[in-house]
Amino acid sequence: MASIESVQIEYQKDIKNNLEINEIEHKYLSRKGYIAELFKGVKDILPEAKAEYGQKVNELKQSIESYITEHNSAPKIESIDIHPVNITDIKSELGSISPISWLIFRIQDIFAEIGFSVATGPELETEKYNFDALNIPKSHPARDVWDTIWVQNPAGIKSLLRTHTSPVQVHYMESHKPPIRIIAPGKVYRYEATDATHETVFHQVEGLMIDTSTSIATFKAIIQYFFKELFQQEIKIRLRPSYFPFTEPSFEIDIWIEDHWLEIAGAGMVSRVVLKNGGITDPHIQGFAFGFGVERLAMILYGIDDIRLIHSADIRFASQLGKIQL
Amino acid sequence: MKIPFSTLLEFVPELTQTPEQIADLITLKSYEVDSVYNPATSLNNVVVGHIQEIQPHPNADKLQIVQVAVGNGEVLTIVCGAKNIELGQKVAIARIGATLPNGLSIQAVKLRGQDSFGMICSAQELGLDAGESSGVLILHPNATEGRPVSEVLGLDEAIIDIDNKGLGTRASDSSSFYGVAREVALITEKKLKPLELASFPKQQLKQHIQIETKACTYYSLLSLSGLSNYKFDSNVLSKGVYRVDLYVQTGTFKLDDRIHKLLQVLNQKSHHPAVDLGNFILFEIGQPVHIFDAEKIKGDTLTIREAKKGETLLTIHKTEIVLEKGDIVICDEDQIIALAGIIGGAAAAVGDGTTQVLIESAHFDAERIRKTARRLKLLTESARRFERNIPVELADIAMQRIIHLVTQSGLGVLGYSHKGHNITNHKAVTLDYDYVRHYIGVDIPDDNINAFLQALQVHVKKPFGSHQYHLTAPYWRLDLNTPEEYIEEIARLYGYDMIPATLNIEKINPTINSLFAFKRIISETLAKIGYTEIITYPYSLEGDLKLINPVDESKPYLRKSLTRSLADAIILNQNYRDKLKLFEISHVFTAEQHLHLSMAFWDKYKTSTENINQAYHDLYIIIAQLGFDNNQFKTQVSDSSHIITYTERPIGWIHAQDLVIELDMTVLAEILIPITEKYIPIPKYPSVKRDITIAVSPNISSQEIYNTIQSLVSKRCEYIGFRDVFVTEIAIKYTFHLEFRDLEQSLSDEDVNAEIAIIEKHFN
Repeated sequence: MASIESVQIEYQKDIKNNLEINEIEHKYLSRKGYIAELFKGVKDILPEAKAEYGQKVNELKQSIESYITEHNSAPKIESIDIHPVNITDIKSELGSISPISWLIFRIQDIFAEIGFSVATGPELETEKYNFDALNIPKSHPARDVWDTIWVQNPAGIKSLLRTHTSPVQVHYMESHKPPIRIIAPGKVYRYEATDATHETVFHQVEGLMIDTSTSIATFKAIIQYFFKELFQQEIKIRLRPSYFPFTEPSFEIDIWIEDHWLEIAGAGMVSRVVLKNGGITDPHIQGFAFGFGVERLAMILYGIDDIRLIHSADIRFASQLGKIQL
Repeated sequence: MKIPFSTLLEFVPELTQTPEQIADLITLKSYEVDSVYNPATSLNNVVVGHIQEIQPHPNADKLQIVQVAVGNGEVLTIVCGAKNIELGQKVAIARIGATLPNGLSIQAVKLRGQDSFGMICSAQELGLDAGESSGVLILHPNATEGRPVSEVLGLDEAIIDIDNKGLGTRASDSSSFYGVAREVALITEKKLKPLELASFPKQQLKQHIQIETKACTYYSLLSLSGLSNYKFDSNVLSKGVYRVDLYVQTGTFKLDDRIHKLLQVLNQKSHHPAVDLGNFILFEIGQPVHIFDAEKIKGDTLTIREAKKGETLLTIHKTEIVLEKGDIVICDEDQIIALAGIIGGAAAAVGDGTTQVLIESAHFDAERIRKTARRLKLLTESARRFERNIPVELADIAMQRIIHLVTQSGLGVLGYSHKGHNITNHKAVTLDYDYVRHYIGVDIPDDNINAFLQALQVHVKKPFGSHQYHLTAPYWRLDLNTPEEYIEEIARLYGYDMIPATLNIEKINPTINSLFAFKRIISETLAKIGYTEIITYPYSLEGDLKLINPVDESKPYLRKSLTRSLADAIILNQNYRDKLKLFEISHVFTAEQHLHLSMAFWDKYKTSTENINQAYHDLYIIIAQLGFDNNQFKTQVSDSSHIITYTERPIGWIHAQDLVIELDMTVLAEILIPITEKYIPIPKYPSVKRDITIAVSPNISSQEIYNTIQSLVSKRCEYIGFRDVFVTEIAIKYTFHLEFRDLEQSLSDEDVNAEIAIIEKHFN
């Protein structure tokens, strides 16, 4: 049977030896600890000494408790292991839209800021919309079989896969009155031998703005705004003379990238013939149109070196890009 | 189209700019330039060598060891396999360090044990047209040892290569040296030298010209004689002698050396100096001319007529072509002697022994030439020019230029005849200068506009009291027919870089294109839940629409479903990942062109059923995101596939075999009535939850059970969810989780037990 004195000596010894707090707690204050034992021992104490005995045990208990509280001020922490995360794993969990879609949505947002809506048109087109309405005469070499993918149509109408997004211009003019501000993103098709920079299917974005005051000066401002927003920095652009049957005048748009001029888009003031084909005959109404290849832009922005990767369906390519939210 | 820089200097002598500067100016003001280059740079380290000694190779019958002097007393030992080398010849030596146009780089080598320090080159190896020659190129005996071969061959000059496609309608005035020179004079504000021309002879030809088709509006013929001293020696040519030197050696009819050098720079084939003359005129003036051997023409009448279907012509290249109605031909009294504007016939071709020629300079309908040339795939230099439409005036100018050039070289002009109309009728265009300013968006004064038009040689007239101008283009500008075409001229001469960027546009709000918005939401939602978008080709083994000229012969149709492509993509990518979530949004091709979505889930460690169910589950994430009324979606099982319907309309297909779900987004966008989000008060009373397991025979689907339970429970059942499936040999056990709630009071166990009992009873 332990006495108060022996417990006190034991306790002092334990403190001196820096016994772990939880061990002290267990040894003295637990249900089977020394203090509990001392309390049980009260029954063996003479009745007149019981009060004093109890008081002494209580004092000892309190001093142990205050010692524990004092030395146990930090909450108990169980050590937790944080495992390393490899972002490659996260990326393969995270999905992505194709870089083409990513760019098209980005372009949509940039143009939406200045009032351009999205318009779409059929990919299976007629000669009328793909060529005739765009003032591409029968004698234009582009109408010959090696540029266009022709489709056998049971209905007897000569059909083709649109070679550019420009037919959307005419479709839209037919169903909407000026002012017109649209972009028309979508797939286009060419009968072409493929290599690192040529594909038989690719994406274009067409732009069209028509009202009473749209001039070449307006066009310059809009295209400058667009490239600045797209590249998130001031981009030097230049217009130079070109030829498209559906614009007059026609331009090539070059941007200054990595110390050289890079041809990036075709554009021009919409030809009167095309306006008329779209039902616009008012001589006071005029506007511009432009078009560019999305793959080409993607190749520049992402450093993609082979256009055929876009259609490769290879997850090792597709999962790399288009993850960052717009 | 290649423009040697010397031709620009010839016609615009005041030019001070470098070829590169001129090319930049053309780019900025006129049309597209492909490149500026100097053919001599690819012939660096290729020099004239003089053959001193030829010894047989000790170890090889076909090789010889040649000693060649290359100037400054230096002699190189070269092992050579050519048969046409002879002692004393001057040849082209590619020295060690040279890189030839074909990419071959010359190094010291051992050939069958003998050292060789360079290479004796053939014309082909130098990037020149080899014609019919074989073996190494033999240079003129006067060539100086050690001189660069590029200099000897006259190749040392810059060439500005203009993009033919980019020329567009400017092809009508700029498909020639003189045309480009005129443009350069305009944009550099320098004087253009007039072409030196000679007048037509008074003497008429004995040949009578008869035009029988509207596709030929003008036809002229010029007869030249005095070629009798010229002897075409094919024997010499086959030995590999380069043709410029050939003429010097064998003919007395000599074209200016400069002309030969230009043709050489342009890499033109030739077998006769008269043909060279014709080619040169085409390049210089832009007018194609054709040369006939006058003595091979039968009779005294040349007829220009439409071909009859099935007629044939043996061309100068000895290939037979079959003609169609609509082709235009030139005939003598016996036969067809040329396909007009495209290629000559063998019957009256110039060749060995030609002493007298007839030169044709004419005008043919552009569209007809284009059709015929493209059908026959005969896009000759001549056809390329005629099909782009050239001014009829050039026909006479070309002839006068020929007369000027040949009289200088001592040939006689026998006679000249012409028939038809030789003047372009330009209609005047009315131009309002305010419109010009409004269209460009910059305030250009009238005087400046007039100055630009004057520089273009446009005739400007302002009727008294009118504020509009009447403009008439010079004959060579066939492309100026509308006010906007004139505006282009004014704007480019003003300078596109001088036009300010002015953004003063009205603010308008974009409208929403529902299908496109749909596409965007779906793409972005699927990406968020781990799906990766791919794009695949539309070509297919089967479909409703067949391609006339498929890019892939094995897939001649346009696909009407996206499933196959996505299934293939899953298979392809199984090599790279253990888990795949892919989708595609593309059009499919049926009578209507709908936008489809295909999506697939594949996990290597899961069963097909689990995989397709995961995709189906994920599909509902899109449905939820788009705000569809979930209850309107139904999945129906048919024999081969599962059809997803929305308000009873089929909108999707589950192709379980392929792990692909396909959805018609076009229909979906049409019929979508999105539910509006609304707050429902949080219920006051708790729900009672029960799991119920139902055993049925294996041919009954979970969907069926689900539907049955739905029909059996009361309104108090607010949720039914599929939880599990367990398959035994005789039965299949489905577990569903149900939640019941009464909005007015707490439900008792008895109430719920009653509901469950009904279900259990039904399935017993």
